[in-house]
Amino acid sequence: MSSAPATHNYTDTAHRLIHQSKRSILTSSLYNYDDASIREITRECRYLNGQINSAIDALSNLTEHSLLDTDKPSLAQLTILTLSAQRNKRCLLAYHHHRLSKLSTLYWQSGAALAHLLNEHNGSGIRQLISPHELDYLRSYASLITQFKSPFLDVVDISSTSLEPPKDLHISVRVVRDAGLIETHGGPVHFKIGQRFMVARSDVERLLVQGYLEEVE
Amino acid sequence: MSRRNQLLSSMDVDDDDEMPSMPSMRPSSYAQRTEDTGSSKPMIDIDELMAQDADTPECALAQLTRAWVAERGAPVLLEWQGDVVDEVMSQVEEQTKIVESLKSDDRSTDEEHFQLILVQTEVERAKYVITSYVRARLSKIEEFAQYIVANPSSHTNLSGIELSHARKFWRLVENHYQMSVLQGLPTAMRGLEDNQNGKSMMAEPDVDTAVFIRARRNVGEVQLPQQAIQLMKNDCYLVRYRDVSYLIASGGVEIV
Repeated sequence: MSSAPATHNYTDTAHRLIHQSKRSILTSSLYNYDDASIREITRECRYLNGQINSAIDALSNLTEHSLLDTDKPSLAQLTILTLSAQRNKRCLLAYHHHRLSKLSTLYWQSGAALAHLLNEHNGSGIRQLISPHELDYLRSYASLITQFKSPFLDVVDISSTSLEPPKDLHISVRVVRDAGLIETHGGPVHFKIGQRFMVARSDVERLLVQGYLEEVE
Repeated sequence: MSRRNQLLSSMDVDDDDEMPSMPSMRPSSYAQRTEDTGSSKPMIDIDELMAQDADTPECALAQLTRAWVAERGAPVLLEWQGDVVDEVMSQVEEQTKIVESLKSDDRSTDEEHFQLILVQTEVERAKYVITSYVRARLSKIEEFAQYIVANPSSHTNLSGIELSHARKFWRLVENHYQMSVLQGLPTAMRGLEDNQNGKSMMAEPDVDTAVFIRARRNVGEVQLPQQAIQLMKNDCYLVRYRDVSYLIASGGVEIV
């Protein structure tokens, strides 16, 4: 990397990332992992770091006194370079942080069903949208949550329930996607698309969360 | 058989005409059935419950419900109510067993079956409170994982499993940042604890958040930064969490 493009200000790409995150929050949807921008920003950081180092080298043979007196432009340049580099880093981290929390949220929303989230969420799953590292993260996160909830499992599965207080034991549901044969307290039930059932909420909580069934008022 | 009689005699569904219009959060009634065997007290609804004196012992589910409301209102992690959660969980387990055995018993009458449905509904609600309580805490733990790991003083309010989750979770997130971002940057820029322009990178609980509080007993005069207030029982105020955290810890006021 010899120099940054002329029409491009430092940290422009980083700001684009932040706008993406903002858009993702406003539309509450997950976008593709922006690998190209990440690479570009990282490259810019390394370039800036080189510039900073050579600026420091050039200034280091001056004493503090003469530095303040004679070389204000170089000092100002150094400040701008440093701030840009730091801003890039913070933007990168903010982007990744936002994505991680989005992924965790999606994980909980899908009833802690990782395979379902990756492959079938909203039709095609989120596997195409995330980076390999994010996939690793989700897998480890899922195993952490499994560990965390195990002491409660005898009584409640803290990941299966939607966070709505239950009103009735039984609910009326409509099947919106074939769910196959499901074991319930009243015996096995075959859920076929289009059918309606009156079932115990606790039996089908997971199917509701994952979008196989829809509650009918 | 004795257990069965105990259960049914304590439910008193018949006495209670306002059953369908009860608020959905009715924490006392469930445990009342388990603990208050044989009494003919009608179910207590939430307002009466809130009006209870602080010194009358509350049942476990009522305590848990209060902890749950407080946890969702407070900006920081409050003390983990392990004993209460255990108590409610074992009550849920016990009730589920009784319900199962009664359901499969052919001698149960229709009326008893109806009563069973009410018990089951209450059990489901208790489970919901446990879940929501645990998850409210979990989301705070994950949000402030870095802060918790760096500050041993915050560990006292966490259960063992929560603390280990905080540690593992932060290690996971840190590792992700390293792999995805930091290892591509120059060595000097790889820290996660920069403190640029006074802005720390660590997410800390904001103790200046405003919370609604209600006094559970007569607290008397409370000194706030701008003014002093007389805090009498059932008074509600909107205050900064920081200014009243000691009252919340002592149980004099609750977050609503």
